Parts: sequence; C-alpha cells; structure tokens
Amino acid sequence: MGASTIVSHLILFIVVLGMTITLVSVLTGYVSQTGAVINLKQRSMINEIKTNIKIVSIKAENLSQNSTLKLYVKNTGYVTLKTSCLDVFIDREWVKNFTAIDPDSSELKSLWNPKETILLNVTLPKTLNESEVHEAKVVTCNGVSDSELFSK
Amino acid sequence: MGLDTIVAWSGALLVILLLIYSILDIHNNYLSQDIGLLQTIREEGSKLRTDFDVINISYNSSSQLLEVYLKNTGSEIIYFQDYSISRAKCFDVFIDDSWISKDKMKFILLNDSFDALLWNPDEYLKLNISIALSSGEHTIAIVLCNGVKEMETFVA
Repeated sequence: MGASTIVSHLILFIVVLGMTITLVSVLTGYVSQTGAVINLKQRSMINEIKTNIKIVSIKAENLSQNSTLKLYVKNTGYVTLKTSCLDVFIDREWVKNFTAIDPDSSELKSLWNPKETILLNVTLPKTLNESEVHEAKVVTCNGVSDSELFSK
Repeated sequence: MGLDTIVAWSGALLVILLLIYSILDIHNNYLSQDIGLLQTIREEGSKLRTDFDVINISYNSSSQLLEVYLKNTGSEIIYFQDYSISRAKCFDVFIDDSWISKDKMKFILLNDSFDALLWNPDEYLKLNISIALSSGEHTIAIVLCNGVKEMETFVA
C-alpha cells in the first residue's frame, strides 16, 4: 500500500467519521425530543386516568338566586388536585362564585388530597325552579368531571 | 480487512449503539409510567370489590344517639386511614344530606378477630352518631374512602 493510498483512506475515514457523528447527533436530538413529547403526553394522560372525583352529597335548602348550594365532593382518584382551577356548572351553566372548604374545620382548601371530601359552597347565579330536577357538575383542572342530579 | 471496512463497521456500530440507547431510554420511561398505571388499575379493581350494607339503624331520642350497623359485604378489606378505629378520617356520613362532623361519630368493630384496624369481609361495624333528630323519616348516606356509597332511610 502506497502513501497516497493511506492518505486517501485516512481522509475518507475522517469524512465518514464526521458524517456519522453529525448523523448520530441529529438522530439523538430528534429521538430525545420526540421521546420527551411522547413522555409529556403520556404523563398527562396517566394523570387524567388517575384523577377521579365523586359528588357524594348535595344539600339544596333554597334554590333562589344568591342562595348557597352545598356540594360535597370526594377525591376518589390517586392524585392531589388544586381547588383553584375547579369548574362548577349548574344546569350546564358555568358558575363563577364558589368556595372550596374543609367540611369539618370550615377552612379554605387549596389542595385536595386523595380520599378527602371538600365542601363547595356554590352561590346560585339565578333562581332555580323548585319543582324541577337540576344538575350539578364539577370539573377538575385536567377535565375529569362528575355530575349529579338534585332537587329541593 | 481493509481500513474502509473497519471505518464502515465502526460507523455502523456507533449508530446501532446510539439507537439502542435511545430506545432503552424511552422504554425505561414508559415502563415506570406503566407501573403507575397498573397500580391505578389494581386500585380501581379494589373499588369494584368493595361493598357494604346498612343492616340496622336505631335511634334513642333520650340519649340522642343514632346507632348504625354496617356489614362488609364485599370481598375487599377496608382499612381505617388514620390508624384509629374511633375516627375513620375518610369515611363520610350525611344525614338528610347534611355533613356529620367527625367528632360526632365513633366507629366500633363488633366481631373483630385479630386486626383492629381492618374491617374484613363479613365483619360488622357499628357507627355511633351523637345527633338530635326530629321524629319522622330521615336518610343516612355513608361514603367509604374510595367513594363507595350506601344510603338508607330510617325512622327516628
């Protein structure tokens, strides 16, 4: 093997090595980014599967406007939920004014642990017909919901 | 074997190794999350196996004591969260849709054989509630920690 052959092989080796490194680094970046996105989506979906709530009781003493409807809701899932982003709907209408409290101590609850029951004091935005059956719906931050029918 | 063959093999090996590493890394993430998911499925199955019945209710108006007898009719062992049989922290009781405070309730396992904190299948649980009730019909609702609920109407 002559010197020219060695040099040409060496150059070829460096070129191939450079190309391989570039290809591998691009591939690694692509794979890791795709993996991260899939991982994030999977975590979100698993979190949703692990989330569950149940309206265990509804106390409706008065159905007039601005009266308080008491919704007792239990966290029957396996993740701690935030009460700040809960949504409440009465007869499919979004209700703005409600507070989440501990039913025993009456303290405001910001975090809602699994197996805990919270009391949602919902201020009715309008008078509800007392002879009709109504629907209360509670939706968690990740979209998991439970609804229950109630009447006076 | 020529130098070009060695270069080609080295490059191919490097690519394969990195691909295997990436696949293993992603699979490892999936595996840890799958285990979490399996636990959730297992606990959901436990909910399906949980059941209980209100078998008797009596109210003593002079002592203002409501006695409720419950039987574990499911196949799941129900445990008390706060390690105290007298106050089951995550058991909820409602009378006429009103929340009953935990300090008004006392749970007593009746035929407990060996494990004081566990309400085993077929065992009876007595629930004493200190409450003033008007004479007439009332409704009691009991919700277990996992959300399984039982309602019963009684006359005070």
